[in-house]
Amino acid sequence: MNVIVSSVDKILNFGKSNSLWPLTFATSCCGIELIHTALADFDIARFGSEVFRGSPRQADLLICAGTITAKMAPCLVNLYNQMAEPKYVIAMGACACSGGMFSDSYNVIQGIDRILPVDIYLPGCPPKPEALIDALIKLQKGIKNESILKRKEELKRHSIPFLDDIENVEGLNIEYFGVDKP
Amino acid sequence: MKTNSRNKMTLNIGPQHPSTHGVLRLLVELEGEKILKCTPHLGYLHRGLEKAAQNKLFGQYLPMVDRVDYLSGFFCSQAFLSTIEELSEIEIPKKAQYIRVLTMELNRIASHLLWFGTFLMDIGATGPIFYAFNLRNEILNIFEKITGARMMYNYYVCGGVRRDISNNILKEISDFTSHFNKKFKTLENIVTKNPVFLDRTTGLGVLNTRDAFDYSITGVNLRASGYNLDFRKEKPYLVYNELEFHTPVAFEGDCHSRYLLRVEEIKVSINLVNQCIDWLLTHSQENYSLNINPLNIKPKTGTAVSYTESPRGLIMCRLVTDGSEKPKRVKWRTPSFYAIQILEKLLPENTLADLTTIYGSLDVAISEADR
Amino acid sequence: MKIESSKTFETLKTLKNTGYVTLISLAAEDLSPNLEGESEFLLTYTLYNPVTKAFEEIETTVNSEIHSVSSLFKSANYDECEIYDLFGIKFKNHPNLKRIFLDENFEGHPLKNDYKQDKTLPEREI
Repeated sequence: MNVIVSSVDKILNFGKSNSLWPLTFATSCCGIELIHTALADFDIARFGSEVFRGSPRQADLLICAGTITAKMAPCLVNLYNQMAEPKYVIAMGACACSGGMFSDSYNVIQGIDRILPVDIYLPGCPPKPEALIDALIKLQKGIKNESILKRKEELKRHSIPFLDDIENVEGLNIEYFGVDKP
Repeated sequence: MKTNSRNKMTLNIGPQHPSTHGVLRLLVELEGEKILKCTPHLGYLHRGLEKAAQNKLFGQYLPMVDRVDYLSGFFCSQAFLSTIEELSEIEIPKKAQYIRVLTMELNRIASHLLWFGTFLMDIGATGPIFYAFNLRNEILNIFEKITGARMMYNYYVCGGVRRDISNNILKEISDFTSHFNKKFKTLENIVTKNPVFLDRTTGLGVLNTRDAFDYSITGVNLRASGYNLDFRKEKPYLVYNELEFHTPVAFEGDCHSRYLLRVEEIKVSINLVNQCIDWLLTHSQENYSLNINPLNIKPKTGTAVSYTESPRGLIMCRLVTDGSEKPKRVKWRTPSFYAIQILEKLLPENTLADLTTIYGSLDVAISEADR
Repeated sequence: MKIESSKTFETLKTLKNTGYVTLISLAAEDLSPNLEGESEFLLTYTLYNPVTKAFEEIETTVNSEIHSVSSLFKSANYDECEIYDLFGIKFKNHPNLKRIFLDENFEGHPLKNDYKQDKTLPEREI
């Protein structure tokens, strides 16, 4: 079975990894380095991200660049839920990875992995454009190891319900609005 | 045209949108294509920078000050350090003052270049942003050679600057400025007298002086309406009273005159950078720092206020100390907070397509509005 | 210049009529110590006169309520919403006093001295 599937896998993964189109999502300082990466000096279009889509329904990569506050968190989860499968998340910058230098603030979420499943963590304050391209290449390498036989498990890991229904779902262990609730 | 109340609708221009101006939510009431009322909602980037100062030493708070306005990090550092130096009664050496002015004016050019590219991209011209960011990248490479970082510098310390600038770097900066005018002129030639651009920006979003004073607008937005208020000349700090420069003023108050003023300010800043390089090349052996330990700063009890002219307007920093090694209260007065408020006055009676033009011409950075 | 909190509106009105047209900034500070008791705040108004190019600072102490100046200076609208959000001072006759930075369901006022927060950085040994 694996023999038959592996060549199909190769073609599908080649298509998925070499055409990741990001969403224009930038809240603060890391957003400026994201803009620099997309323009002439550090061209991200040569790695497949040809355009940045404005609508989440047309994007498949969410580069979360910048600090996420407790007021912005529901909007971010809405955007993630509106994206279609297959979708990936890069947490760019120290504030998105773990709260960054605002670790004792009353309004900052200590890392977006409290509310979203993250594929790649990219530290830096802000990370240089070369570092963002390195993160994208590592994500592409990771995508090339996926397989259509394990698709159901990947869908389970990725799907999160809307925040209103989250009390009724068993087995999901996500802390959200994490300003350190015990 | 007959007005029909069934044509009214409320549109949510949400916190995430394809324009590059940050997280601002606008609730716009429309009748057909005409805007009737606009309500901005802030707070999507409120990180608590004023509260964070109350639990940290002065030297620990200094790297966070760069993030008050991330596009003009040197200006915010200067505003904060100026209050500490006033309360500690120290005067920084002359070479450090010239280095600070040099880096601040280069930062002003970088910030205006970013505004230039994103303003035109919001209007619809997707060409000039590549060239503007190419020039900005050269400035950021110069900053990386001086300070070690492209965007968050952490370069000013209490008593001077952290490292010296060698003569090689000064020669690179003067190479950059000598080629800059020619490269920027090619960009200007496409845009400034373009009939499509003139059609879209003249007569739009007119701000008269009385409203500007009422809403406490400073900086380029006020100077485009006819009143010359420049805090580099009004309350001179560092070595601005020894340098020769002029401040451009316009009189119409629309989007086009704000654009012309910012382009003119880039040229004035290039002139200031050249004057600073000339002084620094002749005084290269002097002292650049007083060597104060940043974790050991204890200013005396009191209150100090500093006025700094940043690319967006007036930044005021107000520091209250009580003799201990942590600040008691830090208050930031930032210009973008008031520039958002004036959207409620400028936007009605315009069409929806002019919203990004007017909002872009005010040069708002949300991180200093929300702090 | 230091005045009482009940006279701020008239003083600012006379200053505006003599030419101080711009309210550059409105700052607040919490003066009470960390114990439980009556809270006391210090408000500072900074005004500017474009004709004579002069600055003027006015300070008052407030307990919990004060008359709003947003009918004189329109920039005070957002300033007073911010101070209500972070300190809890209420302004009478304000057109739309609501929280501007924090969520509407947020409990407490963060910059007040008796705001309790579980998470703080550990003390650093130098």
